[in-house]
Amino acid sequence: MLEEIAGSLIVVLELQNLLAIFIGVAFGIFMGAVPGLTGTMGIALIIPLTYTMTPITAFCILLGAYKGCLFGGSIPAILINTPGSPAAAATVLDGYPLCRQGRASEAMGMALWSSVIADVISTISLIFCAVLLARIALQFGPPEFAALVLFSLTIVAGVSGHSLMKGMIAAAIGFIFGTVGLDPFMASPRFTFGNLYMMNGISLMAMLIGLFAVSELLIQAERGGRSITEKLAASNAKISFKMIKNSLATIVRGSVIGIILGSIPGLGATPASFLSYSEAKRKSKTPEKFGNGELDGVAATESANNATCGGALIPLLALGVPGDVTTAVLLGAFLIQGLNPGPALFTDDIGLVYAIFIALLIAALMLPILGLLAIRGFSYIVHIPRYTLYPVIALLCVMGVYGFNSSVVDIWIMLGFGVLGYAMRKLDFPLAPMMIGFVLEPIGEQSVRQALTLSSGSWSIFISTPISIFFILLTIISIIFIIKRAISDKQQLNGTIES
Amino acid sequence: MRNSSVIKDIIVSIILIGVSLVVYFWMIPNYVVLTHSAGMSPRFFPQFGTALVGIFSFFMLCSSIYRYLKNIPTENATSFDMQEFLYAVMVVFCMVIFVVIFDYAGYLWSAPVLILLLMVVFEARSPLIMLLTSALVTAVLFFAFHYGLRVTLI
Repeated sequence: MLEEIAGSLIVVLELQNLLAIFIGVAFGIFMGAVPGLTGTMGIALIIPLTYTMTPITAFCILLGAYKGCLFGGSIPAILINTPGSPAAAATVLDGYPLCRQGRASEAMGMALWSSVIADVISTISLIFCAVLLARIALQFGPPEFAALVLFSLTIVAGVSGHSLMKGMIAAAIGFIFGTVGLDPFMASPRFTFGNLYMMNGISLMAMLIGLFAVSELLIQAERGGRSITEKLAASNAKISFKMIKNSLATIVRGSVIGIILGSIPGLGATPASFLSYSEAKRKSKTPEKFGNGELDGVAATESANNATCGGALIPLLALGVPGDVTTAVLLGAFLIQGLNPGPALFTDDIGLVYAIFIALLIAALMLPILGLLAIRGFSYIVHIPRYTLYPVIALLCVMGVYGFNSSVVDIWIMLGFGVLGYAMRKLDFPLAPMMIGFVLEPIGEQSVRQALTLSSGSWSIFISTPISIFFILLTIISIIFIIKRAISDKQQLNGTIES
Repeated sequence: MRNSSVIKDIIVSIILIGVSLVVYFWMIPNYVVLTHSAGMSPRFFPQFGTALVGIFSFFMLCSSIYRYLKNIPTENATSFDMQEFLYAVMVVFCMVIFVVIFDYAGYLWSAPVLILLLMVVFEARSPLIMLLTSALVTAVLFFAFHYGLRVTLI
């Protein structure tokens, strides 16, 4: 075993592979940082370039890109309130308020170092716990998924800001939007209005870009050309070691959440980052600061976000089952290289497996260097005049959405959600819960219907396994905490009014 | 001022209740195809989501009426200004124009129009900068998407 590890280490440390990791991380950060472009798109673009590469070099560049894009999405989320990826929508909650307070350097520094620490933790867990976690992930059937989704919906309380009721309404509206398309079981059209393109459902990227980026564009347009004095973002990510140490518990918790949720096929980084945020807020001594510029909020989301990388690779490598959309694309890369991920990979190609682990660790160590450069480069965005910046962002968003499916319908959807997002912000409805409802609805519906099919319509299936009972109990406990907090907040408010 | 935000919430919750009723009793029966099978109906989850919207909106209405009667302020309510709103409307209008031109004439005609119109909305002053910016951005993004990302734009 040690010989194999040493052999893999020597191979990965060859110049071409180190360069491949470097280029991959840099490209991934770029793809993640530009609104409208995604890491999945980036990896799909790189795959044809890897045809002539050795498997190790190919995976060095692909995994580097995967790591880079997870962090990259936080940069525009913090600087211009426009998440670069769905999971970075959670980073917006506290990242952008920090930028408005002139603390963008702290926010981006926290995002970077949380990502690096979480990357290292998740890679180590991948190395040591891949097989064990894969076995646990295999225990997840439809009832367990449904219970997990139910628990995940309690995240809404943590991201609803000042009004829980408005957050729940937004989540329910997102839930309805999630049903658009073809019914997952009967393939019967739902809210498609006879349009062929709508049968695929609403594009997540169109919704994300519209809800966050276009609505932000409309909010910024209200100021016209007026240059309101704002504290400019610093161009380097200066954060003190003490600040990182203070958030270490949050980062570790976020990493664990990211690893666990990432290892469950089909969930992805978005629920993980929101759940981590919600938990961080719940455990915080100053939960009222969340949503108004709290570094722990950024640490929670970014650590969970990046930890899903290692988590999602667990079912891919150990079982041959992709953990999310990006690892599904990576599965394609494996097959192109003539490899079969799964238990056989650990016996037939153990050298490659060790090389992948080492490449992931090196990518995590390269992330601070490239991340700092990216932050320095992208932070010049705030120096660009508004009359240039926002038109460019508008065109970039449109092209990014169009680039997904080459469909003009997606652009109209993006515009529609932009107007909806703008209206929601003017009416003080939070945007994040809508995204949560939208993302969780397809997973939840499929799980519930599969479970009921398995049990011939009996709802007792949802309390028939330890895992589903565990998540249902967690949900109940979570709801009790939410109600208690809502009552105490109301009592505090009434006390303030009376005094 | 504080009561105006509560009134806003009352109006919004009434509208949402109305919308949920329309969706539940008209849109779902007409636009969600019912299939006859032993499993769960395709209408169940849309109906469930709509019912949730209606129920939560009703609670919000009750809460808003209570706050109005007790004169309880809304925390951090966003203000509304008609002049500012018109800027947002102009941006939407510009993007609609862009999509129409893009659909009929393609990227190379629509992108410069969008950049120019939006720069006007954001009160750019120099025509030279406007022209240069629209040409440069159009060209850069064209090469990036058409050749780099292989998105067909022409």
